[in-house]
Amino acid sequence: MTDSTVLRLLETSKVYPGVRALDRVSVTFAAGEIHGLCGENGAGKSTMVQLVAGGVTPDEGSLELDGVSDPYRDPAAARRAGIAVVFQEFQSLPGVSVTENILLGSPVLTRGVVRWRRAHELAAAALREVVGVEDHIDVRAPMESLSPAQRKLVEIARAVGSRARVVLLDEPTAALEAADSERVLAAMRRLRDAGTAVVFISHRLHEVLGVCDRITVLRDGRHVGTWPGAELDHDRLAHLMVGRDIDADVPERVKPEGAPLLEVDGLVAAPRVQDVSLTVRRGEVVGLAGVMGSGRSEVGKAIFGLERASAGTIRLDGEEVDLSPAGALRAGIAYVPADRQHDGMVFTLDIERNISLSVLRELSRRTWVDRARERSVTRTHFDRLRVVATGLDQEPETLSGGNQQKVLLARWLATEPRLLILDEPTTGIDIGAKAEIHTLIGELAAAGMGVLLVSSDLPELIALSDRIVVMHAGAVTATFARGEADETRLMLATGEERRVETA
Amino acid sequence: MTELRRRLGAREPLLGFVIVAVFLLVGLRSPDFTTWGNLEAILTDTTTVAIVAIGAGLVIIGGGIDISVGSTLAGAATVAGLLAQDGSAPLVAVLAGIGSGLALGGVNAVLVVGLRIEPIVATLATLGIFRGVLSQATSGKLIGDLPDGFTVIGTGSLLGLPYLVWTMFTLTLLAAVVLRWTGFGRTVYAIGNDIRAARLAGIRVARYQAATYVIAGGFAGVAGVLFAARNGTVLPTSGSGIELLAIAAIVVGGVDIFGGRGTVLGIVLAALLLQMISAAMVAVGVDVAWQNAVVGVTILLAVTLFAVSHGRRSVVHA
Repeated sequence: MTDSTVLRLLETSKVYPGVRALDRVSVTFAAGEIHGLCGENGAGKSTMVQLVAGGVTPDEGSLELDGVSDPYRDPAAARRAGIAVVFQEFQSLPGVSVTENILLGSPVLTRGVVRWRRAHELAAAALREVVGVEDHIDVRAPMESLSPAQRKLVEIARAVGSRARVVLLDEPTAALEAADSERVLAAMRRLRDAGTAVVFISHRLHEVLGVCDRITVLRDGRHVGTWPGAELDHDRLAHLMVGRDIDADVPERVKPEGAPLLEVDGLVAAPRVQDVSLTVRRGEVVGLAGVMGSGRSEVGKAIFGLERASAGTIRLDGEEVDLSPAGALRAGIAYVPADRQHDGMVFTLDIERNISLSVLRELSRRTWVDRARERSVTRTHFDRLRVVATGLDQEPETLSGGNQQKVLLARWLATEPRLLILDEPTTGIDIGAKAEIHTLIGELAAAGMGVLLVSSDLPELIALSDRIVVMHAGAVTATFARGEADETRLMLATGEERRVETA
Repeated sequence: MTELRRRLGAREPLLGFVIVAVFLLVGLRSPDFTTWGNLEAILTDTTTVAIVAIGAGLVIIGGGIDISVGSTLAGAATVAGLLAQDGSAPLVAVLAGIGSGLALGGVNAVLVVGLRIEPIVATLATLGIFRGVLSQATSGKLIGDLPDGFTVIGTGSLLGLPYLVWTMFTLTLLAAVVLRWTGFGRTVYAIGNDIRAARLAGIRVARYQAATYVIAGGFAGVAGVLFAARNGTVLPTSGSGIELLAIAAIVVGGVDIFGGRGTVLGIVLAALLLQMISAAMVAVGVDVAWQNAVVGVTILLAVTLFAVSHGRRSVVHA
């Protein structure tokens, strides 16, 4: 493949405070191949995408494009050099036409008088290179009238433009149903056949195996190896990605029994949750696994009333719960969201007021907040969670991610919930705080609280959960009892359409 | 969505239908309403708000907002009025009035784009500042006795329609063409849809945003000149509150208050509808004091109906 090499990473490293995101990684991307990039969360895939896209520059090592070293230093230059990136999140302008989305920023649409006929022709031609003729999309239609798959195809057409040499697609199929994914995969094959170097990042191993000519595996920032796609199968690829012993240092608990605390029956919250039923017992930690877009987060949100459910019931101790955050809170459900920055912390309030936010009514007498009680209640939870801060009056902005998460947990524990829903409780926080939060989850369950743990961190799910419920495309596809699940089996279960039959 | 549904779902035909319906229904009750003269009067009364709303609508489509346009209008009217009163040639007075509108729009552009002050805050401030400076400068006095050569702009007519109405038609067409068929217009829509995506696509977002505020000032300037010419007098309080009517027309006309969607035709039709409704209320003898409430109800109706017909969960968020 040396002749057709377009882009080469030579011993590249990228160091962030406390972590080597990439550690002396060397990879080549060749024209006319689809190159899969696999690894767990935190393996270094995103850093590599940023590196290739010009978003970050390597601390060590170098990039070569067509044999030229260090060809660009920022995203705009990378784009001019022929590097196109399709990001995971939809990045489109909903209120304007497909043509304008494809030609965004192009002189055709930004200079002088717009010749619509020509613009539509250019856009249609760019789209045709990606989707072929059989998959017709009207370039005059407003973007918001398209299906998710069509929008993704339009984004690919926009990124590819007229002369991309290397196209990186970061989880392009994550939010799509299987049949729609196939349209995106077909687009990738078409680009490859036209001589483009295609880089495909996905958690869906069967898609990677089905479409990739070569597959590179990253783990903890290191290059595990690169293999021809035909030499790998599901199990081997999953093993290569995980490749280490599972650390389970959470104390064993008594197996929870008795009547269910939480009963979710036939929950539907379009578009991400299709008919989900599950139970959580008192003192039980139930893990909820699935790839991004599988509906795992939305189930947690729907139980707390943040996603509007169109069907189904939620019972807590046999009593039906109102499907609203206020109703859930009254019933004794607490929810700690995944996005601390946007959905959790109030950065204009100090730690004390962040903790007391959800219990102000309980702390009040005739509308006035009892300051002494507020202080004692918040102090109790602050101490219990061992928040590292100068005091209750510190602004949360200056706290580390782990300590912010502890403050949020304190807020919800102050409501004395019967059921605690945690969405990605340990992403982006340091190992020490992570271990403390794991210990806390174990303690809470041991004290009789039910915990629904939504997480993309498979070792975390395996270590903490009494049961793991696996979701795919909005439905429960498998359930593993404690001890049944390992990372390989979980990864296969989360990524596959077929039902994994397990007890 | 099929092409047909897309067309029928659009705001403009619906507005047109409602305008015709109101006109004819009120005519059943008071036949004087459905006369050419009355229609002409309603059109003429629409011009000021419509012209202001086109400019302010451009800002909103681009993702900003300008609530200072009422004061800008007064500033332009004062400059044009004073010059006309002092015997300057009408053309000089007109150009100076429009020029001062552009300049005041430039002040907003500097505050919002240069100093990065939130648009609603910056233009709330200039709404007060422009008006206050104006009162001081003119000592609160009335500008009157404008020469006929100037006031003919506001009172004369051509082919049976007042110059004012012709001006509104021309500016509507011009703005609609610019928004639909020029790179500038399409870029304003792109920025209003997603400023981050536009920036990543290499668009110099700040320039375009600044331009929208200057243009909004220019449209308010034109409206100010027409106001002075039509009334023959200008007060420092002239046109106060017109920014709210303009924003009402913009929202009823189908412009997304958060930017990126909407048309000039929709804005102008909505301005006409609001004017038609208030004329209708007078015609059927409803107390004028109710007019503000009716404008408010119209806004809520328009926005809610649109949200329902588009299956949106929230009324305002896309």
